[in-house]
Parts: sequence; C-alpha cells; structure tokens
Amino acid sequence: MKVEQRTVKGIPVLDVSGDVDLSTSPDLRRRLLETLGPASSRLVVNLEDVSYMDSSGLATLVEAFQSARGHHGNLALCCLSQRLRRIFELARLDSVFPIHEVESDALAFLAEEPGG
Amino acid sequence: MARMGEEAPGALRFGQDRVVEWYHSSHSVVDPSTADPGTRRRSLRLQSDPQESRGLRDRIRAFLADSGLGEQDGEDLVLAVQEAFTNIVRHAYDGAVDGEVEIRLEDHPEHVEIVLRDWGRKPGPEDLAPREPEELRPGGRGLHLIHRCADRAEWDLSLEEGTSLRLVKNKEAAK
Repeated sequence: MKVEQRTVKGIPVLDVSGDVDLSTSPDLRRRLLETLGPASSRLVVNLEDVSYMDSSGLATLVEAFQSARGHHGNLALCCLSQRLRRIFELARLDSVFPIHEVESDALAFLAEEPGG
Repeated sequence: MARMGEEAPGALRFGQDRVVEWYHSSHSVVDPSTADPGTRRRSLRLQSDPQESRGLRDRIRAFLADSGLGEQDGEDLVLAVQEAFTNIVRHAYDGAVDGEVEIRLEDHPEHVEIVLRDWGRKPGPEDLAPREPEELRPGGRGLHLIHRCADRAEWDLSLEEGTSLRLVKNKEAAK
C-alpha cells in the first residue's frame, strides 16, 4: 500500500493505492491522523487505486472520519471501485461516509463544509 | 453435524436467519472414507503474522479460480477468510506472530468450504455475538462481515485446544 498527499484548492487529498489490510492499515492510520487536526479538518481520501480493504482499513477510515468531525470538519471518500463500494455496503458504511464518484465532487462538497 | 436449517445441540441463535453452532463432539472436516471423490482439497499452514494476509488472499483466490464460484461470491469469501484470520491474529494469539494457523479448502460440487483452525485462546459466546453494524465505532465489523460474506459460519468451541471456524459459500446453481 502507498499513501501520497497533495493539496487541491487548499484541501488536502490523500491518494491511497494497493491493499489496505491488517498489515498496512496502521500506516494508513498514521498518515490520516497526521493530516487531520484543528488546523486541517477537511480531507479527501481518493481510493481509486485501492484494490482491497478489510475491516481494519474500514475501522481506520471510521476513526479518521470521527477525528475530522471532532475538529468540526469532514472527510470525504471518492473514486471507489465497484468492489470497494461493495465492501462498504457489506459493512453498512456506504451511508455513513460522504462517498463521491469523482474527486472534483468530493472537493466541492468539502469546500462547502466548515473546517480548516 | 447439523444441516442447514437445523440446530446443532447447544446452538445459539443470533437473529432470525443465523445459527452459530457449538459442536459437543470434535468433528472431522474431511473423512476420507466418506469424502466425495469429486471434491478438490487443499491445505495451507501459516503463522499468525499480519504480513501473511496478502499471500493468504492470493492463495485463496488461486484455489477459488477453478471452483465455479462467481467473482463477487469468491471475493466475498476471500474477505470472510481475511476477517477470520484477523480475528485469529488479534484475539486467539493476542498479536503474537508465531501462532499456528491451518486452513483447509474444499471445493464441493455445490459449495466451497473453508475451515480455519487455530490453537490459541477460545472466544466466548459474547465475542461471537454480532454487533449492530450501524454503530459508528471504529472496530467490531469483522464478525459482521464474516456473516455477510459467507452463507454459513460455524465456530467449533469444543476442541481441546483452540477453535475452528467453518465457512461455507454456496455456488450459484445451488442457491
């Protein structure tokens, strides 16, 4: 798994690629929580190149989502493959996260949200 | 062993459609004397190391490729196995990476069966009670995913040491 960070229109975007599982989710967790804070509570996580995610990856995203909300911001996911979307549906998380088809929609959604 | 829809002795019912069975006598997953000759089998041994996860999924996928299970059903079963392995790593062996894990794969004409065996700490009934998936908490989704992804999930807690979990996925024609 790889995680790369960039900023688009003042909003950080994390590009995650590869498999997010028991062995790699601690690294994703560290990157997410490093990025989120009182000064930066809006975040897009682009999952386009994630081929697999298990419950440890889902738990990591839930924790980051709660952290963003705790700092009065929000976290949006985008670009999920059909398989990844099914995993979110199986875990009943598809209605919990803001999930967007394309990154520009996720950015537009967060631009309307409060937070740094 | 109880058939679908029947309750094994001591079975606990969680919800309307799900029975978690506690077998009171040890059971052999494959009895060579009665085994269906059309059944394809494979056995894997690995350690309770999170780093084994990727290789485990690849080996399960390779086995399922010839099973006739549809792609979505196959990937669902891979996820169920991963979640079961995660539970073994985290709970049965408490994060120790050198615990022994045996996985037996069987491709039957109408279903695929995967049995995960560990020799670590047994779960209690409260550990196997699925949580409400709507609850917005980071952990606790593994068991829910196992139940969603497999057609049957049965824990054998009667073994002298450790636990086995039998996962069954029915093939499309058998559903």
